[in-house]
Amino acid sequence: MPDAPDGPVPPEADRDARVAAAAEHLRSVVALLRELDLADTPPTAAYRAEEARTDAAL
Amino acid sequence: MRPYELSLADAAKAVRERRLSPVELVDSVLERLEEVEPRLGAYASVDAESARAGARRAEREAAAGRFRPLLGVPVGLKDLIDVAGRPTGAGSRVREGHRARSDAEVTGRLLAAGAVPIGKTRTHEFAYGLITPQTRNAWDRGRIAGGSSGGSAVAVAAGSATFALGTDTGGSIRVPSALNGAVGLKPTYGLVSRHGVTPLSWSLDHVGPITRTARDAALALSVLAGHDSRDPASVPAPAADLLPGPDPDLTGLRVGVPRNHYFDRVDPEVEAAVRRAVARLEELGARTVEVEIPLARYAQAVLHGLVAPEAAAYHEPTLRTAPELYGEDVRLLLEAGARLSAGDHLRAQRARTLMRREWARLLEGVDAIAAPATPVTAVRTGEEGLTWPDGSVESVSDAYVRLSAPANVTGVPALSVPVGRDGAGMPIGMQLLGRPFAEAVLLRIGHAYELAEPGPGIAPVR
Repeated sequence: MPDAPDGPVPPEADRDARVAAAAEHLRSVVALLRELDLADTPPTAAYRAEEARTDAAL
Repeated sequence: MRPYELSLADAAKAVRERRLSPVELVDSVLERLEEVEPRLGAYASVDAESARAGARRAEREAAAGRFRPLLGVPVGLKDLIDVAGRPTGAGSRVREGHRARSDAEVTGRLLAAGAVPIGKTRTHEFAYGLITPQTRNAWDRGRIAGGSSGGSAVAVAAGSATFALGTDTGGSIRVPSALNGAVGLKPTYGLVSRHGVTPLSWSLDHVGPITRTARDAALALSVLAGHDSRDPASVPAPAADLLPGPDPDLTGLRVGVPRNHYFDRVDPEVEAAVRRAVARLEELGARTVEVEIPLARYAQAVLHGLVAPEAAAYHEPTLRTAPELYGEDVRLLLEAGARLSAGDHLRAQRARTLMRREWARLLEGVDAIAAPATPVTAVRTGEEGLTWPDGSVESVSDAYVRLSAPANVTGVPALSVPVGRDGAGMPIGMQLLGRPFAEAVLLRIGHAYELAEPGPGIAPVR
């Protein structure tokens, strides 16, 4: 995971800059995936129209 | 041998054969805990009174000849796992005053099997980190425990729990297990219910056992695995006999040894130990095959593309109302995650589909893959970065996630087993990865290996 050192909470303006930098780092890590040709590949998120029954016998 | 030193399998057997009373077993573990805990900080809370009451109940059952598979065996639960009426602290000030209304599914399964919870083990805050800074390594208190299930791994390694549960989103079972000389199993995604376990990332979270042997992991998993409709990822897996036989034979088993990714930027001592262990597997009958890991360079990007926005979404309400309650490192990760676009999140999900497809193809050719669990052993507390011989610099957390991420993204089972120690005496872990729901194969390999090369045993904790 991207690191951030522990320590006292910095003042707000500094915080905003740190969050922006961390977000930019994260975006740059994830941007690697733009190299992939995903074509028609669907996402993995699963959805079923029927909610699973809690009494299902399995 | 004192009762706290017994493996889960041996303790359960001794109780079943009436050679050991659950009261003696729980008392021994609690005494060991009192001795080592001030030096380790593995537990967020210990409930000795309730554990002793549980031990007495177990003793009455044993006296009446009623036996359950884990009767009287002390277990530590990562402090993300609900136990009815107790706080789930999640290593965070955000959870002050929390009280779980009911048991997590895994807690219920352990209790039904007769296990005795003795306390909640420390986690990196909300499982969002690989360090667990509150806890010290069982083999060297100047080094990190690893995380996020650091408390569980340290307790098992030190003998202050006979076994424990952890969670693994990006290595959080395998990393601390490897760093403390324990066995850690991240089961196939969906095999063990997460109901009642605080999420980090719904699409990547797994719950699994941390033990001192692969045989123990098999016993624990037999109790933990099963369908639960309250966890949308839970699948009714085919019933499998997980317990390895007394004399496991690896003849004919094809073990893949990666030629890319898993041995890149790995400490030479770690690489040597894992290659020696692979050679041992060959001596035990396995046939090794060199394999190419597909899409390896994208695994961490997929992992972060899923974890960051999902964790940010889960924590959004508290991050808005009480951000100061989070530790600075976790708060920053959560706030940054909230800024990732939906497009990035979906791209990670679609890339995950590709990885699953390619890994399925890879695993058609081999029964398991053997690789280092972590590129380095436990680093010294406070160390934040690693410089590799090729000049590249990597954060400690990124290094620990790097070899763990593929199994989280693909959902395949991954077992970490100890394969010796480095020159500084720190444990080294080998990771065995397999086909979905083929835990039995990994556990058989792990057990065959530990019969030939036993693990490090209980850490002396000086």
